[in-house]
Amino acid sequence: MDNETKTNIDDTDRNPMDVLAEQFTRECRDGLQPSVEEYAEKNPELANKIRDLFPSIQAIEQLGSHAASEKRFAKANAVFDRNRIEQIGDYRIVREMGRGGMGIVYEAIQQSLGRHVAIKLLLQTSTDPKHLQRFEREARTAANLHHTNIVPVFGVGSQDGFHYYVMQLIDGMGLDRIIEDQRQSNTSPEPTKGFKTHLSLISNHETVAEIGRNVAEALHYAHEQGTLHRDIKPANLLLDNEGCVWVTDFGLAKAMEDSNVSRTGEVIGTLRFMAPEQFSGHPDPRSDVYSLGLTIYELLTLKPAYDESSRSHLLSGANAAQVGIELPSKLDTDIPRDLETIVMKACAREPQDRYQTAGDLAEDLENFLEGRPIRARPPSALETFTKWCRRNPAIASLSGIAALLLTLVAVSTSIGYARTNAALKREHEERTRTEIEKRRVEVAKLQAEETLGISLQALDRVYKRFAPERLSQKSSITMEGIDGQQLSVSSQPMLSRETAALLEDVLSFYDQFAQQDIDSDLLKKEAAKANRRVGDIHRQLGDFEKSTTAYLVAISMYTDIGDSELELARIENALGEVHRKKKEHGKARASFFNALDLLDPLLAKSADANEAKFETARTLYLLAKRRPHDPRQRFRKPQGRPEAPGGPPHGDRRPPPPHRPGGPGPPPNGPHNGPPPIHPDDAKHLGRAVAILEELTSNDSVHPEHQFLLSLCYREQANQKPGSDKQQSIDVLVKLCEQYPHVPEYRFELGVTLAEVPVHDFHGTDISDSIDRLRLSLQQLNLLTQSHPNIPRYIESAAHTHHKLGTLLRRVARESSSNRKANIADALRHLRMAVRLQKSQSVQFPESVAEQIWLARMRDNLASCLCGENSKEALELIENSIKESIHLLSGAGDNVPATHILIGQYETQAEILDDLNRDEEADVARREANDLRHFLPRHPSRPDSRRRR
Amino acid sequence: MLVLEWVSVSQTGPDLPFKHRFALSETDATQQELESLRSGGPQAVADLYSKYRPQLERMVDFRMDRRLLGRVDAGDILQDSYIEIARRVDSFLEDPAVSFFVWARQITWQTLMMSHRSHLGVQKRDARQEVRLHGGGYSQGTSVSLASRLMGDVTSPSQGAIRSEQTQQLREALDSMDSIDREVLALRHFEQLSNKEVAEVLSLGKTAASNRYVRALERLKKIMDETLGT
Repeated sequence: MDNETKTNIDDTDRNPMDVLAEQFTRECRDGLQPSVEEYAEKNPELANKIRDLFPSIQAIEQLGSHAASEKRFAKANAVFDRNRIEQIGDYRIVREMGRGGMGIVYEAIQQSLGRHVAIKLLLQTSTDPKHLQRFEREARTAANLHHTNIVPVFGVGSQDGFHYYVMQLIDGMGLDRIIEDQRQSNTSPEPTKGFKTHLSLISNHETVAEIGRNVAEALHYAHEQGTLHRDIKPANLLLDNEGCVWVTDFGLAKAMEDSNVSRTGEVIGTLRFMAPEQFSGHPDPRSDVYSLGLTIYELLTLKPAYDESSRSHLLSGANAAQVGIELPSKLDTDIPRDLETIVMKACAREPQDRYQTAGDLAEDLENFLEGRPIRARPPSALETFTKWCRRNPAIASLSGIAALLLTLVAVSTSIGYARTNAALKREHEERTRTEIEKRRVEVAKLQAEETLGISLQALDRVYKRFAPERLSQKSSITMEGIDGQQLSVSSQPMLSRETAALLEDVLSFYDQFAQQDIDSDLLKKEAAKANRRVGDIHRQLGDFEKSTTAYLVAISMYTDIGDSELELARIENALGEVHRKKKEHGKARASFFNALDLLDPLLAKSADANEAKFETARTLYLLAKRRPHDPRQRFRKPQGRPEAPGGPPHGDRRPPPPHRPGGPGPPPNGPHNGPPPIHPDDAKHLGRAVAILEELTSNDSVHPEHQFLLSLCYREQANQKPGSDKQQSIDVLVKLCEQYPHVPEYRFELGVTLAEVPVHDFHGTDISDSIDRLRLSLQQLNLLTQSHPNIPRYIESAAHTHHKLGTLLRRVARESSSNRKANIADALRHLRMAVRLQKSQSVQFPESVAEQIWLARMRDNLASCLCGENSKEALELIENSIKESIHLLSGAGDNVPATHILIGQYETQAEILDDLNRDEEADVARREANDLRHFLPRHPSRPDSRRRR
Repeated sequence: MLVLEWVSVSQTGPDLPFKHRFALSETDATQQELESLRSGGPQAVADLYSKYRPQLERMVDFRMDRRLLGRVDAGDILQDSYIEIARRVDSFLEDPAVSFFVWARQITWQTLMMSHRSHLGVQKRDARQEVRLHGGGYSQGTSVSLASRLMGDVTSPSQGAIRSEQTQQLREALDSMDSIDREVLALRHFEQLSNKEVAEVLSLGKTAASNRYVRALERLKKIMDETLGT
């Protein structure tokens, strides 16, 4: 790197970090894309600082590097300021009409035809033919739109590198200015000069609704032609002197995309009208509906729906979804309720809650104008609440009030239903005299049922949000004990206490409802479903007996109702999973086969064949699924101890125990703790599941759940063939995460799958491959833990992945001397992170022995890694950890894992004390360890020769 | 007259490429510059000025109020400042306290401030004077220019939104730093000055400036981490 010679002359009096930073910065500017890691490796003594600070430098430089284009824009603007343009092509400029973020609009005369036109000159110069083509393509699309409310585009052209649009001249002004004028005239009694006609035009709600309807119709037409507007906002809606509204700049947003366009303040301002999904780059017609909704909102209230600050929160996505729009009627009580309902539906946050087409919006506005009932329904309290919960799972799960509210709403609707029902029955018994009365009664009854139905559905959604069905549930993670023994540490259902409390509340509601005597067909299904939910919730809460009972009730109810094979199959599968949890593998298989039998006849039917196929695939997957750690692998390594997942904190210091069984045998904790036994048909089942899913996804590639299950099946296939790669599964998950960046479950499984790398047996792959994968995994998991800081299993996985990575890095450092320092530092960083995350887990689940054991294990590993680097800190860490671990021994039940952990910790302590030359204390620690070994079944003792190095 | 001279400056082009500055010891280079200014007359001023013009232009671009874009060209400011430099270079040479570049930058900055004053009327209390992110209000503080600088170039709405977020975070981070830290970062990364130049601009020793810079980076990183909630 010859740059060094350039800088280093005068550098003796400078901070060495600065010197490196300068060189790094220069390489960034020269477009060399320097690697932070390379710098860190070349300068091991500054490696940590480099890794810490250089990314910020990259960010600053990157953000600052766009000056050139900004300058071009400003200059162009200035040029046009100083030099009046008189002619563009065939067009003679008459006057400048306005100026915006993207360009200047002129009134001009097309000389060959003698007509007046408007020309929009874009202030962006670009000579790249690709941009030019794209611009022309978009312009041509816009020129093909012929609608009474769309400003016709006559043509495009470019001159001296500037692009321009030629459009019909509209004698009027943008709604943004009208809103601004109206706002001013509201605040000052003096009527503003000039635009009185326009003011009066939007002064009543009907006119606003009419404008909205016309624009919606125009949008609907354009959407049908396959063109999105992408930038609907008041400034792009022109009102002419006849009061007719025109949509302008169709497709311009698209045309300007990635053409290096420099856009200043104004465009940023229009982000205000952009739908949330547009920021992630997936606009569809409903995004235009959203923008129009906000535009109408602003026309009605003369206030932006979002103020700037809340908007900027909105942009940051998933976390900051709490911002709501104030109801227009709160700002102006005169605004009609129906119109408000329409607007609020149009600009609902979730696309599926909006009008699905611009045409639907136009129709409902027409309904309003004609005084007909509108389609949109104001959301009920429960729906609003449900949505709130959906947006704020963390908050909702934390607040007891939320749970209380939810049950309150649910119970009150349910009581309301019971009352209406009773009253109606009485009335019915008195015999209805006339047909009309009879019908009225029936309608009222239906309505009551419907309300309850809606409540139940809402509750269902809330339930799903809190306790999502998980396809791939890990029930335990295997851990190394001392001397290479495998310990299966079963973990509790990972529910936070708040969620568990909420679920119990929901449960009591379902329970009450499920026991009601229902005579309505509509509600019978709901009751059956409620029983199924009761089963689900009990399962989540770990009460498998009650869960089984509820499932059985649900099965008998669905059987009564009939024609519910799909539902029944789903319940059988749930039941199968409960059996699995109870280690009743035979029963589990029976349930899964029941499900398959139920589904079989459905596969041929066309109606819900796809759903049946999917459920079949799911059943096969559940049937064949094993735990991540195959018991067969437990004793596969005769030499040394396997290193996963904890890794060998002490190298080969610990020999295998003398009495260890050499071949396959029962796992240390007895047969009852094991995973489902291997069945020879597993591979066949999985193969069939994959075939079904591959067929489904090739026909119907839009259904993400199908692809998701497919990826899990691929993964399972790879799991069952040791040494095979998970790339196929990862590919599918990566695609899913790209398409659905906001579905945490996909990202989670991607992170988990990436982390499933060989950690001792590399099967011909390289240790660095494993390290790379783990780093990728952490990228995903970190995203998740940042956006969902309260989901225990995300934190759990992140902790374990950090732990794995730290362990591997440490091993690399031990095996090769190159970059040793950097690798150790990196290992320490990850181990510390693992400990930190695991600590938060153990705080949240103080009763969970598994969490405490893992914490102890990770601390042990960290202390051992620190030994020699910072032995004092290491000692402090291990001593504190030992103190906590001793408590684990006093607990009831299986003490074996805790004993293993404690032995390991004492041995680590001894090693650290050795390093500090405190030999006597080290011997004490070793004695503790040896004493503890006697408590283990088969108490393997250590050879005495090992006592001192 | 002076304007004509200016044209010749632009055409002459720099005879000392930027990189060469590093080939010599910085102190020697400064001395050499002063020598050539003393012996070379107006042409030497013109040559030296055009050597530093890109850096001065960056400074103007960076510090100019966004509302002046389109109204005032960076070229205008540079031209005015060049006239001023040519006029005052003799008195500068009598007792040069700083290098030519730092002095020229000072003059250019003053010219820019004058221009702000005449176009925007700084004295008047104006709502826009408050720090606003999206509007790019005017303030002499570095953070605002930083923020709007970052906002300046947006290639698509969504990218704009993302950058707006990053800017917001960066701005908040910068706001909570002390003014010298902030200035050091701006000088190093946005005006692209060397450590020695930063030291001169801020009247610090070279070692102090260097340490200051590293510390400013550390603080920025820390604050960003905190705002990101990690």
